[in-house]
Amino acid sequence: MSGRFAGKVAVVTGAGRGMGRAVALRFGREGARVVVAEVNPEHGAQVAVEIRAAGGTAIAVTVDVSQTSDVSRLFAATVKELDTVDILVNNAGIAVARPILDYTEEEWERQMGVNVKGVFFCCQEAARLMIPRRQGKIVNFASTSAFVSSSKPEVAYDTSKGAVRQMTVSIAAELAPHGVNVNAVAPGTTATEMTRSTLATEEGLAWQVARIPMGRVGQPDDIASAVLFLCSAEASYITGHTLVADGGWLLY
Amino acid sequence: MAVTIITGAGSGIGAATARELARRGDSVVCADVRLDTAETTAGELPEALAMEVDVTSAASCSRMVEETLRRFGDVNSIVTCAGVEKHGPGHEFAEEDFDWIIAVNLKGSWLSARSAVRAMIDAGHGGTVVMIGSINSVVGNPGASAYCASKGGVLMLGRTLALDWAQFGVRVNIVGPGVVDTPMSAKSLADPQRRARMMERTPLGRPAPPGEIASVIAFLTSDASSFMTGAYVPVDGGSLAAW
Ligand SMILES: NC(=O)c1ccc[n+]([C@@H]2O[C@H](COP(=O)([O-])OP(=O)(O)OC[C@H]3O[C@@H](n4cnc5c(N)ncnc54)[C@H](O)[C@@H]3O)[C@@H](O)[C@H]2O)c1
Ligand SMILES: NC(=O)c1ccc[n+]([C@@H]2O[C@H](COP(=O)([O-])OP(=O)(O)OC[C@H]3O[C@@H](n4cnc5c(N)ncnc54)[C@H](O)[C@@H]3O)[C@@H](O)[C@H]2O)c1
Repeated sequence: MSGRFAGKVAVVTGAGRGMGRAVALRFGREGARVVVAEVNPEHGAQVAVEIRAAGGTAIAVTVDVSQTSDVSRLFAATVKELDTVDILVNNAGIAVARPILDYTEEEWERQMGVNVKGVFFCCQEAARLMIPRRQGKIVNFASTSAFVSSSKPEVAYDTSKGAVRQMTVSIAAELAPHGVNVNAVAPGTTATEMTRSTLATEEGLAWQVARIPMGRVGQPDDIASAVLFLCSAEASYITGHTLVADGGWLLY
Repeated sequence: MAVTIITGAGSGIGAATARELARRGDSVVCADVRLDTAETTAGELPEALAMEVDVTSAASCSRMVEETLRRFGDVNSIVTCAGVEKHGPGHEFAEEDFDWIIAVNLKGSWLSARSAVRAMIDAGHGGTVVMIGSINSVVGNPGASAYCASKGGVLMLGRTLALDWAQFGVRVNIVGPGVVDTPMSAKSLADPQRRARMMERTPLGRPAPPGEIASVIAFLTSDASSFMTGAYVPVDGGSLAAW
């Protein structure tokens, strides 16, 4: 398949739905060979089928990114099936939303396990493959919550996204001499399952929309196009940046 | 077909942007205080118009947009690349140099964008504005107080105009180049010691050719950046990420 990413191998975690799915479908359409890495086996398989039905190339690998053994298996399977990894998009994420007094230690560990540890070990495995080839693109999912607090209390989630933002900076500085670009995206409120309950009520949606200068919430495709840009040759001199795509949320 | 005005298109980043946007099919207006260099840029492009503009003059900026409307019938984007730089320690720097840098880099970005966005609002459609800030929008540089002040100003100008103009569907974003190989930086890059110092703080280890800034401007003037407004996008080889 031709396209901006013809032949490139792109691993997208959490690609079974939401923004990860949008990213995976776009990569498929633009010629990449896509690895749909997802904890929900049915969702992952379905997205791979969708990509192939549209004429693209995709495999699905079931993986819980918070388990390092799963992460190793994901990269081993990718190398076995598709030889290498050119692009890694760390999209998989969960939001454990609670007031501070209600968090348990287990919930904290789960939040950090997926959103921070998962991102780190996927980056490590990818770097192992990218450094010797002197090329590669990594995009992590931060959030506007890496800059300001979420609009409801979820300190563990906000902390995890702050960590992703800083991890992006430090890995970028370390890998730049090896020709690997590492960036993040910071979506604002985007219409996915993660925000469904917030946006389901009329007041919930109205409050968000009133708060966003562009007057609408983001759609998965808005964010996917920002992610693909960061993985493209057009963004070759950008590294260590968290690209904000929030309709203006952070402006005031 | 999109119509894009580029100020400072006679040289460096502006000229590269004109070429990149013409390549994707935009009608481009190459505006510069130097008509001869604007003509050189436009001369190589299929659907381009060269124009003289002094971005420090409101009247000149209005004329630029009127002329664009006369020739192409519309304006969809403006990229404000016109810029000047002069070095000197803050205690010795001349007042007229300070005023000049602020007038071109800061006020000029506003005046030229204002004229173009008025036309977008009149036409009842949205559009995009890209302002050229600098890594010096966010970090200082000794001996460049006026330049850094102007670029810090551009960042806040762009962010606030993004708020003013979101309701009209006009997105405003700010690009922050690091070290770019253009006439503006030629002297520093030619001095081996200064070049080495600049590269020490650039993890990718090389200056950017201006085309690498232009490709990011192309993204910000396209639908691919549909949910981005008021964003600062560094194109600095990782300088802001470095120690
Ligand atoms: N929706 C928003 O408003 C918003 C805003 C900012 C940032 N984000 C971030 O964007 C990313 C995508 O979110 P979304 O809104 O599409 O959410 P989503 O819940 O719709 O999708 C997340 C996907 O990740 C998968 N996943 C969860 N845990 C996993 C694990 N341990 N291993 C592998 N896969 C796992 C889920 O099964 C799901 O398919 C997340 O990192 C999220 O934090 C979302
Ligand atoms: N070169 C770099 O390393 C670098 C780094 C960061 C930011 N920038 C910024 O990028 C922008 C473009 O810089 P460049 O490197 O291409 O410089 P350049 O000197 O090559 O081009 C600047 C152009 O602006 C024009 N100009 C100057 N005053 C004007 C006025 N009053 N009205 C209209 N046009 C005018 C000049 O004639 C010239 O053609 C500037 O804003 C600059 O500050 C450059």
